[in-house]
Amino acid sequence: MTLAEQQTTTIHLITTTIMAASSLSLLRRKVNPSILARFQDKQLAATTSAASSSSSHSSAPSPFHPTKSATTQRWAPPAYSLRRQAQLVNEAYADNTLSSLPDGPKKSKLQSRLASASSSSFPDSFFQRLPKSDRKWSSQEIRDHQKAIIADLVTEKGPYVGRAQGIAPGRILSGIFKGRKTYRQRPKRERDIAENMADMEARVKEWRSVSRRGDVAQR
Amino acid sequence: MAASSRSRIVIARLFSTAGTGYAYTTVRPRIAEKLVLRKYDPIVKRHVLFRERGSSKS
Repeated sequence: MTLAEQQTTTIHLITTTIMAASSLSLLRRKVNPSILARFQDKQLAATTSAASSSSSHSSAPSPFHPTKSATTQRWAPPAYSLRRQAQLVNEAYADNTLSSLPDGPKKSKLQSRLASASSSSFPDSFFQRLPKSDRKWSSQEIRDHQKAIIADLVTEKGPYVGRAQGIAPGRILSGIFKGRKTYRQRPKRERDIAENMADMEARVKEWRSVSRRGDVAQR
Repeated sequence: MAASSRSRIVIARLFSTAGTGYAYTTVRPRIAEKLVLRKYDPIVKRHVLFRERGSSKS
């Protein structure tokens, strides 16, 4: 075999090996296609083509935001629907590559949820037992202890102002988020009853003076 | 079918004037005035006035 023939064979072997490897990776991708992987491939191709082209655009439009056409002044929907954006964000969060995704409503929503979750989680004291003591804690003391913890969880903004975030474990605190209707209405009800009872003596006296049955009852 | 006749006796529900919602049920003649009685209200644990309320049932 001549030198040229050897070089040709070597090159052919190398090319065949590369092609086999790429087709194997493609096969693997096809067998286990990741939505995020496909998105990243598309983004890479888009940025490569944008870099190679002589376009005057400094940055490609985000595929997660609607775009306005310069010619028709009409808004085009985002390239990825909110459902697909949510899928991408969830996969990126699982892969720990959230920062590599372009900005979008689903990404910012997840980031704000993560930020609020870390700040408003249940305090450790909530799950701790009462401090040890030589006597048994009364049920009222246990309730006061839990109420003090719940008071820290009461939110001051949003549609649920004045209510504790989250559903507390335990039978005593079940339904703490909104509370039972009878418990919510109890303070007003007690005020009304107290108001009615304030002049009850006078009303009974008046009834006794007017009613024949009142006369009978007084005997 | 015979025309329905009104009953001589009506059922009266007496509700607590303390506003607790507790009620007693009794009967009275239709022609008599609405009942007002002093009876025990277990929610406030005292005797209070009970007043007949609503349309009387026959």
